[in-house]
Amino acid sequence: MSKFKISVNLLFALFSLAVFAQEKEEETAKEPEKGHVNQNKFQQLYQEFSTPNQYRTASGAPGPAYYQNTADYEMEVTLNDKEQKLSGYETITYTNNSPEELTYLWVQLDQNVRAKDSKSPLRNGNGMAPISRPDSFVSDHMTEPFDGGFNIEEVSKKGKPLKYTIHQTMMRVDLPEPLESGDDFEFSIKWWYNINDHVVNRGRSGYEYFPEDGNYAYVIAQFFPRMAVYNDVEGWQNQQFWGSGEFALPFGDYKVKITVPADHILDATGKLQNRKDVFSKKMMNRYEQAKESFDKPVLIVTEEEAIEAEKDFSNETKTWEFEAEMVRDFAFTSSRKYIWDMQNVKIGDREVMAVSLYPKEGNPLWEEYSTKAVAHTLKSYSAHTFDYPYHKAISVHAKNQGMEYPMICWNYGRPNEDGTYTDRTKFGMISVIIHEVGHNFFPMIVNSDERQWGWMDEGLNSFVEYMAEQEFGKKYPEAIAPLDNYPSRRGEPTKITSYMKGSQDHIAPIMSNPENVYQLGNNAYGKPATALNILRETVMGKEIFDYAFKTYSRRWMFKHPTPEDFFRTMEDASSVDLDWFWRGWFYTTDYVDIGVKDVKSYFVTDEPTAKGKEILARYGVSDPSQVDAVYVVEEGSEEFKEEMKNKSPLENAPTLKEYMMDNFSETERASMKVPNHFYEITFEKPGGLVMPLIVEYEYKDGSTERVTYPAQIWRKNDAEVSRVMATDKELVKVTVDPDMETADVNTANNNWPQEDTPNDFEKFKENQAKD
Amino acid sequence: MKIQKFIFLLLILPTMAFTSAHKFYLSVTEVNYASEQKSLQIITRIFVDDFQNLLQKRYSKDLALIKGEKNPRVNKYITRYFSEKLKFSIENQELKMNFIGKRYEDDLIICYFEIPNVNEFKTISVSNSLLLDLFEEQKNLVHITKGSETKSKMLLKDNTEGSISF
Repeated sequence: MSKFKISVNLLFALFSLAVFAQEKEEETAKEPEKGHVNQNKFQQLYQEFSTPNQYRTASGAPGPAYYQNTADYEMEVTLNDKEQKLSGYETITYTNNSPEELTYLWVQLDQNVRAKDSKSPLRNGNGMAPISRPDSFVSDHMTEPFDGGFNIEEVSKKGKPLKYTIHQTMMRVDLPEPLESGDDFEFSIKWWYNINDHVVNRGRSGYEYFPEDGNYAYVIAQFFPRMAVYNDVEGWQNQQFWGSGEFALPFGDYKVKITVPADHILDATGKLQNRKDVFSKKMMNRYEQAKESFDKPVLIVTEEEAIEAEKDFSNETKTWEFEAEMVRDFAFTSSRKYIWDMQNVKIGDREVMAVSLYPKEGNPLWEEYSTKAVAHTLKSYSAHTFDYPYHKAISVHAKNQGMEYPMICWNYGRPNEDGTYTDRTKFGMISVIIHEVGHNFFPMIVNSDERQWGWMDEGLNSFVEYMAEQEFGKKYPEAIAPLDNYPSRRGEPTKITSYMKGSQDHIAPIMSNPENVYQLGNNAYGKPATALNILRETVMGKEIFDYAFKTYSRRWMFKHPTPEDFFRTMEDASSVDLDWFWRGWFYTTDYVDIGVKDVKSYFVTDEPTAKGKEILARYGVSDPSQVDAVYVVEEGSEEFKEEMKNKSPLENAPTLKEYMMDNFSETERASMKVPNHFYEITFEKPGGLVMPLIVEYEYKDGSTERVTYPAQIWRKNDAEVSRVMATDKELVKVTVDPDMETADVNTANNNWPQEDTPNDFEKFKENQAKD
Repeated sequence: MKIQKFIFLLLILPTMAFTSAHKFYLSVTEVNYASEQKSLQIITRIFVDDFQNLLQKRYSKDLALIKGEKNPRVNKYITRYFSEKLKFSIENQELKMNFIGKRYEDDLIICYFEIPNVNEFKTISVSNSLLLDLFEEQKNLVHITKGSETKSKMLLKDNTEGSISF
């Protein structure tokens, strides 16, 4: 290469720097600029994340010093069906695996949220209703509150009373001597409480009363004083139970004996130990059949038998005995009214029983879909995480709540009295079963702290629920016909945009305590589920994402992860830097709005343009003919000539042709492409969230080209970025995010040329007029 | 950025007190002031099963909301119910809504209304007690868009009226 050409190259390099410097100069002339800290959206989350340590490593895995304390329970519980009371005696063995010694233990008394003196109802403001229905006026202002909450009759160690202090929903038990690292402490609690009506009080447990036959159906949980979690992150997690923030519980082994009326049907967390005592011969036979049935449920108690059982009220009792290992909680359901079915499911190398219990009021919906949904959930979730480790999963029909416990959950979905039901009821029921059974994985096994981080179980679970629902639709097309895809309520990017673009007054970042958010459903469920779905499908790709997500699930199976453990593992196992994604989606309330702002078409020429001359002059080149250069003119500008459009760049700029002839052989030249069109496309980003820029270019010949620019395209300019396209074909249309996969809240700026579309209302009105 | 022509739809789900997943009661009404046409464009989304339940309990057992089925009586009762439960007024003047039509989407019924001849305003009052005669927990969310601004009110049993100023 000649010296001359090198110097020209150097000159061009200087030009671009110079232009930049000059612009800066103009800005600073106005006002001295202030400095700033690192505000780059791609800066790492060192400030937000806790420092990795021996308990939790920078890779997101449990560290060499990771520990967790355990709580084992032995309980005897009696259900008083006549007075709707539950009483029990429990012995807890608490093992301190932490390196510290403990001088007191915290025990959770969740039932106290319904005590007369509970602070929970006082935590929200309310206003005087200008108009009320008489029944609600009476219940709001004229009725005694429900007499709920634990009555603690004894806290003792081997018969000797222990000192304890109850503070709202927490009880501190003072230890006679410090519990040293590695030691355990055994103590007992005797308790009883009045069971609430969960239908009116909207509890996570309680009873439903059926006035037609006088029966109760109990779904019983948070029913015994439960150990709080002590760990390296929170110390004791003894934040009060206010109602929204759910539970933090240690793992342990349970031995539970439950005494109920002899004619009740009961199921619970754990393995039934005395099946022969509580099952009739007929039930025993059917149970054996169910173990062989892998394609459809077998009825253990039929609808006719359940209806028959509703009529008598036995004065006898039966005791059901259960044992469970490595569970963080225990729950049970009991009623005369239950129909009971079971089906065996093959998960990896083990067999899991999918079980449903429902009163006749749940049919015909429940006999058709409940166990089917349970079995599907176990398979689908296992494929996305780890093989379901327990021996059964139960779905119980409770009127209008969905709530999860280890191996057992309550689900809504009640047909009308005449047995008809709407699609909303049906899909609501299937979705809630998938969701609640799915909670076995998060947080029952991947045991995050729900009291502090509602999204860690709800968000991850709603995300896997979305995948499981879509797979359900594929597997059972007849169940969703005439729809093509399962109508998931959450997960699709377009379903979260209305929330994300809403008034900032009512939005909180995902990384918020569930008590302090405005819209828990979107905050802890919808937005994180959608974020993970976008991460999987658009940002990381399924294969890379799935490996990382599985790694997280398996690393923290039967352990207590924190948000950082999740964030770090997803990066560590994927090689994708995701700090920008976590920062935007989880730590802020920013939203996605990316659009195309402008498209300029350019033609090349070797006629020096005014702008070209100006730049050359700045470097002392007064005669442009001294320099070999190619210039560009914008279509429609003063220097643009219509004939440029019909000529190739080599004809428009002979310099370019000369350069090619001088430097390349004829064969080399033949293999080079000479694009006829040069476009500069400017994209804008009014939204705060950084996302990949997905663009579809459409050409005059009808062909299209899809380009995904990585999110990093925004790292140096968060508001606007341009790309040059050199192409043979004429560009006629540019569409940003053509498949609506980024949760872009404003699609009005997603097209060039801008389409002036009428709004939803005007479109509808126009169509109505045509009809 | 181009002024958004889209009306916001904010599906604010209520906090699901006491349970992990819950049947919830919510309607979302979007109101857009179309300044060129001088009209208020109103779109209300309600769960179709709740609304059918309401129409049957309040008016007549045979009122069914079924996609694709044309029943003039249904439209008559929708108009009647809305005119009693969803009201807008400007400067203490109650405005009359015209029913434009309805359509169904997933588990929702979407009702369209229009109020013509509305002059430029600063403040608009809204009273919304849709479905409160059936569900205590019903929440009615109203978004009003004027120009590039959208303001929202969540109306509940305790508080069925509000006014929005631009």
